[in-house]
Amino acid sequence: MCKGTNHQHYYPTTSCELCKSNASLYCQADDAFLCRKCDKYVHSANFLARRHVRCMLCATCSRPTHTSLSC
Amino acid sequence: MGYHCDHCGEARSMVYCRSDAAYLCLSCDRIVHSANALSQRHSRTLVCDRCNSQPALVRCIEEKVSLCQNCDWVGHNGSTKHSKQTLNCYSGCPSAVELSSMWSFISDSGFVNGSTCEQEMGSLSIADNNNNNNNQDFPASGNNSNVWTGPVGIHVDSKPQVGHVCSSASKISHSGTKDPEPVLDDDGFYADFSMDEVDLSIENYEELFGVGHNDPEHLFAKDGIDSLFGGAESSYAGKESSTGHANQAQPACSNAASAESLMSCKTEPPPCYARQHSNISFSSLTGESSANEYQEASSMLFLGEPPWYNSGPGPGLARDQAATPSGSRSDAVLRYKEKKKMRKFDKRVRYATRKERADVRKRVKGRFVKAGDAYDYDPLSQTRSV
Repeated sequence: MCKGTNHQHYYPTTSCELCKSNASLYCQADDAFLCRKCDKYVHSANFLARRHVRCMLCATCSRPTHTSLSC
Repeated sequence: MGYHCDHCGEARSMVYCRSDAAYLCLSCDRIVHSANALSQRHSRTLVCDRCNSQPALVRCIEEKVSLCQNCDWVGHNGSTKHSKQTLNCYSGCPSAVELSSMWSFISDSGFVNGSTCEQEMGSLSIADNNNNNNNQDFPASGNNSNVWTGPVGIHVDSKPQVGHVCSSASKISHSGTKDPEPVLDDDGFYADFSMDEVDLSIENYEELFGVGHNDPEHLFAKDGIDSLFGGAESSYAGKESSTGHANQAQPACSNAASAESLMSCKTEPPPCYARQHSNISFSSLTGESSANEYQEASSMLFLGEPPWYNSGPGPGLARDQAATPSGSRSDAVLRYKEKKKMRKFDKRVRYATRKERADVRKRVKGRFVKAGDAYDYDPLSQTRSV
């Protein structure tokens, strides 16, 4: 069951912007699709980046869901 | 939040990062945004000097302050004719030299501190070569980041290429203020005009204020005429006056743009006709005579153009109409989103002294009562001492 929202822009099976692997997260503040590793690298840099809310992407249609990262 | 830097908490905040929704001093801004490729994309703007709580949009040359939209409306509400300069945002990791050339009016000590970090930041930006990947979303900022990732220093070769688009846009917007800024090229250099909303908002902003900064008597005359006539004609007056003002200020392309936008379904001759008549009517300051002329003009034009008038915007919006209805809407949406971040629903004491007084006041059933009188338990029927 696809849990994706009707978000404005979405691409099928998005690739991470930094490493080009499959993206599993979307950061609204950065307006960027990221994979888990790059997200960990990028958003642990400083406390401002840590504040960003990241949404998990639906595995089927790669649209941002309502689930957000809790870390 | 607001006055002090969010990162160090000590220095006064100088820039506002839109993506992070954070106020930072210059050194922390460099530290934070040089960390990785994503943070380098964030666009930062100067903070308003007056309220320190919103990003600054214009720089008033005469008062030498950077102002946000609110403070600008409050300070320059059509009554002063200060020349203004739009402030641009930057992204990437500019050095102190580049920042000072962009904002040539600033001579803070903060920039002196920045220069010591130049080497360090230069090495960091070189190491991160992922900026080419960002071209998909931000073509203009991609150009900017290519400049930044080189060795620290100003790339004069690419300057006209990058700055051209930006400076032409800013020139169009500047013509409204009647101030031929020699610093335009520098200002346009680091502008992040890739986003259409930013482009529209700056142009619309200048048109809005191009109207406001013309002769104040015209505004008063228009109000006088509005009070004489009914609401139906006042909307027409508002629209005509705004096109009339635009015509006086700038017989240039933005005039055509505003005329086009306000009367989007009209052909060319009627707007010219309308503008000439509104010029005649508003050049004279006396209420009665201008009212008569205006009435003739408006009646003549009403006969010719009823469909346009009926389909125009309402009276309240006529004066504030931006270049396109979607332009003003996106302006309003951006402003709403910015203000939304500032909302606080907590209990907030505005005046501590009033709280102190209130705490010691005499109360009956939770309500304030006059100290001298005697009350029984029913405050609705208070006994009075005679």
